Amino acid sequence: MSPANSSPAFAEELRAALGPRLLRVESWQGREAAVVEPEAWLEAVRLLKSRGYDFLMDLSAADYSGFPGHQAPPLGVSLQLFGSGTRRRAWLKAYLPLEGARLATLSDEFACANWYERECWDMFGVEFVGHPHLKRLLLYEEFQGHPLRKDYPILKSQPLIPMRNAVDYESVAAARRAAADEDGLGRG
Amino acid sequence: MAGDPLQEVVVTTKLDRVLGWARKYSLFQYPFVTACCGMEFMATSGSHYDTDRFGAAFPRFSPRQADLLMVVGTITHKQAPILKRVYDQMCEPKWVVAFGVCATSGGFYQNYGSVPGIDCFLPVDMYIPGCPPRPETVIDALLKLQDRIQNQRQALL
Repeated sequence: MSPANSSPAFAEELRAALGPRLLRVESWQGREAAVVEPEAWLEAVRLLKSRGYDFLMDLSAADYSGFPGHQAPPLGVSLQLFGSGTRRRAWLKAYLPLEGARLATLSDEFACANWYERECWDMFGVEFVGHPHLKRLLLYEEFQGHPLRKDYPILKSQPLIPMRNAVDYESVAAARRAAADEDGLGRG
Repeated sequence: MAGDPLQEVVVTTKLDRVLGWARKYSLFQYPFVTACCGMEFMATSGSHYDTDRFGAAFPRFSPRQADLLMVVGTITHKQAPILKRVYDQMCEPKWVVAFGVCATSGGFYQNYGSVPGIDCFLPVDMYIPGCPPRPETVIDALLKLQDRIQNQRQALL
């Protein structure tokens, strides 16, 4: 966390507009991101867009379950905006619980958010409220669950056609856990 | 039978051998290219290495006209039914080559998305290792496959 007087300009603008709904400014390897309340997600993006951040570079997520020292809700959704006139960038982040992860859609502000949000729904199960076409982007409709969440079994696959010598992921995972316990690594 | 005039003009062989000879030099490929291995496949098919020299470079982009299915690249669970359908549409006799480690065993992918080797749902005749394989490896596999076709029992369907 960086002290308020060294926050980047975009964070200061957000602080002025959102007040306490700007939760904090995170710093990771020298890059600062404004963490906002999930309810203020769309408002924050609209404000930044009105200040010249007119290009959505990226929108993605990460599941921080079990991440050392992580206090906030586990599902972190982040985005990067770029100002084509100012050549400046802004990073925005919101943390959501795993159950009922919801955010307002940005697809009315940025057309490209449509597919970013579909991918984010596909992989992390973040429901973007108001999205015009929220269906899986990469995986198939029959797929159950969201595979980039930490609670998705790492070896579990969901074949569409019968597979010979398919991996029994549960027994493999159990064997790995047992081996890790034996090594005293405490992982698995 | 010295002096037999037929010996001058007739060569005798077995039906299996002559069919094998015809089949191994007229392989029509269906390239099922899904990933980066495709670049190496193109390099091998191109004029520099030129698989046409071995009578095995003619690509047909319809499975109904092909007898050699080249599976080049990672096959995902989403893609698997499509590949199975392509295979089912090919006429006998047909052969399958797993090109590169992803088609062979899933390679370094072991996750929710990838099939751990196309032999989970297709019979594979030749596996080509490498990530990606060198053109020499591909040509070696092709020659071995031709050898196999030459010496197999030729089913007449």
